[in-house]
Amino acid sequence: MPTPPRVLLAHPDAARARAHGAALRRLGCEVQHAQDGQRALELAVLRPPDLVVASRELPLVASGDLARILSANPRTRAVPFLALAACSAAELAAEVEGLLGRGAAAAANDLAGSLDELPLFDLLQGLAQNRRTGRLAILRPLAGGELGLSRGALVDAGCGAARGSKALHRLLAGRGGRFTFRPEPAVAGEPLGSLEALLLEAARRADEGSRLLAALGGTGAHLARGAAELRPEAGTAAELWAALSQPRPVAALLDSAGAGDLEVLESIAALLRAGALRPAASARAAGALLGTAAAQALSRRVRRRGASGPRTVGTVAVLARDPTAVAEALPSLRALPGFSPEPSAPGRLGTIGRIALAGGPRLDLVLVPCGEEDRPLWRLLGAGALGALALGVGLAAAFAAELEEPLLPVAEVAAPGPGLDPRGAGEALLALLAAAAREEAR
Amino acid sequence: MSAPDPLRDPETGAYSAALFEDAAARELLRARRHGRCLSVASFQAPAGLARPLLAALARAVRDEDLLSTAGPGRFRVLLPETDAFGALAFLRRAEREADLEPALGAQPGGTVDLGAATFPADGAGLEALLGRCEARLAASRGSPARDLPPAAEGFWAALDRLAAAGAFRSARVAADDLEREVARGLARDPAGRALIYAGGGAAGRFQPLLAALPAAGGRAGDQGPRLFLLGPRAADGAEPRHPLATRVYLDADRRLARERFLLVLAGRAAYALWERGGEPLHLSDARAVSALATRLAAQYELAPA
Repeated sequence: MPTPPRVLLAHPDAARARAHGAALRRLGCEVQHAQDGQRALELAVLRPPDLVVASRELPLVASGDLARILSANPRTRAVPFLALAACSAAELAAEVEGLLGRGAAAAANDLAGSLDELPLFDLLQGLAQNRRTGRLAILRPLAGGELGLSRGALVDAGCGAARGSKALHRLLAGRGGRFTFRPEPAVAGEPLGSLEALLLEAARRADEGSRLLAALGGTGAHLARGAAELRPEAGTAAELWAALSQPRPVAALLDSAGAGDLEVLESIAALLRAGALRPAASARAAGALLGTAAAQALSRRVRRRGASGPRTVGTVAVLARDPTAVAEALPSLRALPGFSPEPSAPGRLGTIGRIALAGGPRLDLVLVPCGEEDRPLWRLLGAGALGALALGVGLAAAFAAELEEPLLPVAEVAAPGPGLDPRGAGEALLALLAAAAREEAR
Repeated sequence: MSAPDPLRDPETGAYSAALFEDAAARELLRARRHGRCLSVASFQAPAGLARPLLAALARAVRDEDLLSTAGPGRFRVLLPETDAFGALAFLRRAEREADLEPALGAQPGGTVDLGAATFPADGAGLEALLGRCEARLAASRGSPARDLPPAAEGFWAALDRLAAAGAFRSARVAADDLEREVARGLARDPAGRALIYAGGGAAGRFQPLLAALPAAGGRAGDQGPRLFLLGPRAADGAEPRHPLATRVYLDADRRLARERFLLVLAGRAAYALWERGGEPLHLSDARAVSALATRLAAQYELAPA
């Protein structure tokens, strides 16, 4: 008979602890109650439970400290910790049921964990050394997949539409995520090759591929056919041309072509250089703001732009002669996914809003007034910016010169009529971020 | 008679330019490999005053810095592991030491021309860094700070002289808005080093600035910004405090009570805002801001500057 899961409930309010405890017992849990953080710590270390549920307001040892201490202690490191918000007993029971259920599911697998702690390269080498047979599932929001191992040799790989070594290279190029390894008596298939050679080749491809992908603006960047007379006749280039009957993201092109991702990226880069393909910026709004590789390149750029050390929040200087230009540009910026404007309207200077890039940094859009008399403010407000978004013609060059950064990525929003083109600012910001990512990848 | 030392300039005794280039290339490789900073600084002495400048620089450098000659009256300093703010601090220290040299201090302020550049922000290679450094040295020749009265005459005299020389421009910004934005900039880059002096105005006026500062930081030994806030004590004595900010109570200074100012010295930017008779004026000449900060710190006995 399986032992019931033991839950340590740390709560200072006896009445609420009774209600929560009853709900947990109805789930079949054995519940131990502690009225303060110190007692909870003693109980947890003495006999590690299967789950700790703690009120956010614990006396003696605060909930946050309790979580930190338990996660630092080897005996209790693996114990899940649930910080209790103001919720009903029924809501708590549902949450705990989910947590314990996930734990049970994980226990059914032989191995499970985070790829941040155990990179896929190391995991595969470990499985090979132990001559394991089974299926390794890689769980990632993007580029998840499955690998089949037979007596330590890789015999099968799948990632999205890709199979075989193309899928393996794609899985190894990805970062983070979780994994589970499920042992099986036998997995059919021929070995894909010596693991050492496969991993070395994958590392080379991941490096070169990420450089090319960043230069393209990430997997979310859209491409379209270029000049018709440059239509390629054969090979991967012809396959790409055929797939681009309408603008498509790089990710779709990687899936549609039969060649490996690196060969496809090299082919795309060559076609772009020749003019046979062109970026299709207008299709971006439908997809992610920027590709993952571009977002990562921007993260690196933000870290490097700190004056005295790594920083995590970057800035984009928004150049405007007066606040009306900002007011006119705001609707276009608001349409960008991840953009949140400041609650109050900007005056002559200030932060306009911020944009959070998926897998990338937070970027604050800082208004830099650009009248001639404002020039002393330019360095103060603009130094360290990733780039400059100019809401008017002729501002960017003077700004870059003042900052002594002739290569600063800039994008200008021209005013075609009496006001700004309402779509212009958002498009220009995307172009600017893509240019900054390309500059970083160079 | 002993043989001449090939590593040293026979005229001044400073290390040779060739040794500087060799050491700089090596330090640059190290900085690139380990993702660290590195700065170079250039100095030009007034005609015939190379030796006093060399003596001043020899006192200003740290053990790990390398001081070398770079031509007649010209010196370079290699500053390993030094970011842009560290380079700025070194330039200020060197200026102070130069002021202590009788031959240099007797001249009107700022007779030594100087500039610095930092890897990686100012360039990836030695040539680019030295080019940026020389450009800044050339720009420092046009700084209005060269004509300032001696530091002993104080902060307000320097402000008046800069205004008379036309160094300030009219500003169209509200001081409160600007101070708030400066504080938000610090919150975005809490490890970024900066020296900020804000002063003048009514009691309790630092509240918006303090509210926008980053929540953490300010423990002893932390790198990061330091603020000095000068002005009268709030009537009820209740004023918010912040670990990054040092409050300096000056109740009896009439000029400070009338005129509000902000000085910012950061690695990549220098800025001064001054409200004279209700009219905001500002400038961004790094040498002028540095000279104002030095005089302010000396006049009101603020340390460390």
